[in-house]
Amino acid sequence: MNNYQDFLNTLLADLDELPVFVSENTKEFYDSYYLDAKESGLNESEILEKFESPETISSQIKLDYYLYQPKQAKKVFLGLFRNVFTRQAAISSGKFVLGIVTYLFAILFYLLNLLLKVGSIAVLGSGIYLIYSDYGLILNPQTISILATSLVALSLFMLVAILFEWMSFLLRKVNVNLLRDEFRKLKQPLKKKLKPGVVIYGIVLLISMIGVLTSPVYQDLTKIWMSIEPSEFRIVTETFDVTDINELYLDVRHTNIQIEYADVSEIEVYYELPEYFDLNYSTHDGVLRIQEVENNEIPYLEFFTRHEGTLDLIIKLPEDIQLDNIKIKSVGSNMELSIREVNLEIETSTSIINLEYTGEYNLDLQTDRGVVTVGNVTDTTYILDESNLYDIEVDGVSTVISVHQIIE
Amino acid sequence: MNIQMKKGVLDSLVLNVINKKDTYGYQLSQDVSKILTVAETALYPVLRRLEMQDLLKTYSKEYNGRLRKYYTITKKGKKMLNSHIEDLIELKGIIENIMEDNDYE
Repeated sequence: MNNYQDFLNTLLADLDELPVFVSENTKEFYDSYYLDAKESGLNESEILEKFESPETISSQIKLDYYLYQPKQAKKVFLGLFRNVFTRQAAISSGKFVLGIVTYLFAILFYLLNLLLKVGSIAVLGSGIYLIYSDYGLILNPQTISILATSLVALSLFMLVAILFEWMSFLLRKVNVNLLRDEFRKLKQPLKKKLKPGVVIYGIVLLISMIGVLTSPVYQDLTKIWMSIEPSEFRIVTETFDVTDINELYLDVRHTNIQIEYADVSEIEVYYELPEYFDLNYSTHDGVLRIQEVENNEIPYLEFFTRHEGTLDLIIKLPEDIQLDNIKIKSVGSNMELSIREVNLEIETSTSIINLEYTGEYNLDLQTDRGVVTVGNVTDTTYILDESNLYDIEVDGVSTVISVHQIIE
Repeated sequence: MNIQMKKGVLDSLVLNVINKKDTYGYQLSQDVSKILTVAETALYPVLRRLEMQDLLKTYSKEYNGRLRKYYTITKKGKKMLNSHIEDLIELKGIIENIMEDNDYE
């Protein structure tokens, strides 16, 4: 064989039965070999002299192909598979997925933390709102206990929020570690000082817990709504200069108030409190007790007074409280009113007041004009019109009741 | 040399040459033929087989405006070469023994 091209053609023709890449590789090798040999100064015949016959070469290639190629084919496939799903790639993608999951959780915890922080402020706000009235904030054991409770809630919320924030922070830290290889640029600021928050809210929690635990509200929740210890709920104390006070505004919402003056007069007001109850009360002296009665009872008022002089009791109720029916009755078996020259005025938006006395008890009215005894009155209704004075005359002695509408 | 013997040591020789330095077809045949008389073109099937066995791998490098295929040894190839060397040491013992027995100097 004197011609390289003939040699190559014969060789490649022999390899026809094998896949194309085999003959391509073979051609590539011999072409390169031939050029290199030529460049080293040999001529074509000199080069071809050293070549084995194409048949020998092709038979060896074919033999090798059938011996080794299938294995290689398998390896090629495995290699391809490995390239896509290498262990490193698996670890990386695992880390990536884990990183995303932890990041989502970090976001979730961060949002919860924010929610709790807003919530804690809302709790404190609602606590203040609860004890806020038209007359501003009134601090008494009950309102303080409400404040303390909302502070407990606030600090608990804050502590949980800090815990969540810390978890979010930790997750982000984990996340950064996981994704570090994948996203080297992703470096979040991870310096976080949460200790001061824990200390501050821990102290707030402790103090407010003490406030709640020592509060009478916490000690006996039913007691506060049902009855009162006069000494505990003294709003106006002995230092109260009764002679100077003509009008006393009290927010009696959800609380029991006792106003104690001299023991000359006593007024007890029992009422139910759906919401607000404004009491404008003026007297020279006397005792005013306001208590809440159990739910679903019709508000009723009870007056005890031994006061000598003029007692003005003005009760203003919100519009949604209907006072069409006010029952004035005694809690005990007998109600005694010692009224000496007292004009009792009931001012209300309603013009009809039913004075209903039921049960077997006597009403004694005592005035300077004499002792009046009202006998057992049953199913007696007085229809009172606007701006009218009514004489209730019993046994020849009368007491004046004036009823008129509030003009605002 | 007997063709069977040649075949036996050719793999070791090729691996050894490439282990020293990455090389291409023609250069390799030059290096090998200095040591062992072998038809130069017969190297191609050997190289092809060694490559299929993962003992060698190739990469292309530009030379004179064309790509020249270089052969380099793999880890597996190095291991194989070492095991060949162990075999050759054993063979050397056999050869020396045969030489002594025949007073061949």
